[in-house]
Amino acid sequence: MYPETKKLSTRQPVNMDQSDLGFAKKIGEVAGTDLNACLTCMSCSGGCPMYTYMDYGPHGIMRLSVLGLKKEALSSSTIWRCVGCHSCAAVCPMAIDIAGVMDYLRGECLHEKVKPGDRPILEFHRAFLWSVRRHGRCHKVELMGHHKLLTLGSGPKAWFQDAYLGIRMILKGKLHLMPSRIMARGLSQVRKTVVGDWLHM
Amino acid sequence: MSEDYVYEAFYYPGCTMATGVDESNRPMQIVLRKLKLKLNEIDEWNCCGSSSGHAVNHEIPVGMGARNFSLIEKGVPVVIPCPSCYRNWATAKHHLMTEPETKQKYEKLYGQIHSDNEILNIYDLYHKVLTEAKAKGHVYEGETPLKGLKIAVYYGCGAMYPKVLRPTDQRRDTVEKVVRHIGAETVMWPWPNRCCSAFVSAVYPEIAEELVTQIVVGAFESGAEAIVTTCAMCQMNLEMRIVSSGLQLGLPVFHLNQLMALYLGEKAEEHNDWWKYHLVDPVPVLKKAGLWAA
Ligand code: SF4
Ligand code: SF4
Repeated sequence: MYPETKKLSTRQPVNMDQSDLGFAKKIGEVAGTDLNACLTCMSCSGGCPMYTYMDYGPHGIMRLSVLGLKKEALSSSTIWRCVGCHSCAAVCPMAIDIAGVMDYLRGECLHEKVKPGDRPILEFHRAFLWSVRRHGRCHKVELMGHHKLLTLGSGPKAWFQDAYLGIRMILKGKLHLMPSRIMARGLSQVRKTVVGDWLHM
Repeated sequence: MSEDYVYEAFYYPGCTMATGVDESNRPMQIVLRKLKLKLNEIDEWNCCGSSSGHAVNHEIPVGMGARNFSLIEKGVPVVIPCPSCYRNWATAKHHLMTEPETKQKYEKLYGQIHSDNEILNIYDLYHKVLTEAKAKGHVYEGETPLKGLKIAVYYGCGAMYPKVLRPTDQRRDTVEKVVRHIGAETVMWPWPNRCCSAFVSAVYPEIAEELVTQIVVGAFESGAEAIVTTCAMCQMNLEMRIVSSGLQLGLPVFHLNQLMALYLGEKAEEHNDWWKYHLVDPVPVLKKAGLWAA
């Protein structure tokens, strides 16, 4: 995984033909935050731990959204590499809930069937939520195995090294082999809410 | 509440604490007993949604939180050991409290939802109890200030919230206060709130190694001998990724519960049942600080 070249400052002219000017408003309604207040000050990207590995960075996503460049925003790697740490929201002078916007955009990416900008991360989330659907709770050991299967072949380092550390932690007993579960009625209740487009892919 | 306790509340372990992390669970049981706190695990609780729930569907943490809120009794607070679970609970609470239609929707599924109950981080509770005890001049049996231990307090992303969720009386030094209260020294360092890389550690170890190296080196260069955190995932990521990066600085990452238990009279040398789970051996640091009777 190498640092990503930033796509926001390129010499290519912005193609506004397909721009959706209601996009920022729509995001604002769902995420409860006013995107038009964004100053493009870059404070968010400055504090973002994942900025190096993103194609736009949070400030870029805000700008794309305000310009209505939906396709670019939804297909970016930025929205998937965002870990939801809220460092951005903590520093944003306009108090924009940036991580909330990222949540909404990922949901839209799946909903509109746009090719996700980072598949292995999406598969991690899916493996996690499958574990929750099975037990009502997440089981880390099962999650690790499931995710490895879903992403086999995406980098030898991830596979060997992690299998090694994972096994070391299981041997040490740091991770329990048996899941913690909830009972049948509770499980069906949980399954009613752990739903979404991610389930039908 | 019986007289034997100073505080009683519900307890929400969260998945991480429920399926591992015995090195934090064990000292926590001791701390709760010694501080006379009665925490009752919520029956049949479910996952809070973690990072993955809101990542793919912003309604998931609300729905999962709604069910958890339906399992508790009116008026009884909930204590949460995981900062990340806490933030998901707070998100759910915010939506359930400000959107009547959302609450109605989930009450149809889960019955009555007590989203107005107080929720609190376990370290806020420790801070409160220790401060009150001090004000009353109370000394705990076997109390041993952890003199000579130099600690970098690490919150990870756990102390950061969007504006609507920010607690009105939020302090960003609660854990520092607790650590100083129990007699250890805290260092000034650059990364108390830097993200540990969370789930990225499982997908792209090399990114995690970079982030974690920056954090651990920062603590090391600031003169810390160890890091302490309240988040079990941070603890795991920090130790695991510094080990896999190959850098050997000898900085163990303690759980706050471990230091609390030592302060309340537990003997470090009797607790290999905690230390053995660490990937970076904490024993040399404990010995150096004189907390290990040979
Ligand atoms: S910190 Fe806030 S105002 Fe500044 S660029 Fe980011 S979102 Fe916009
Ligand atoms: S929440 Fe996402 S965008 Fe914001 S700082 Fe964290 S990783 Fe970056």
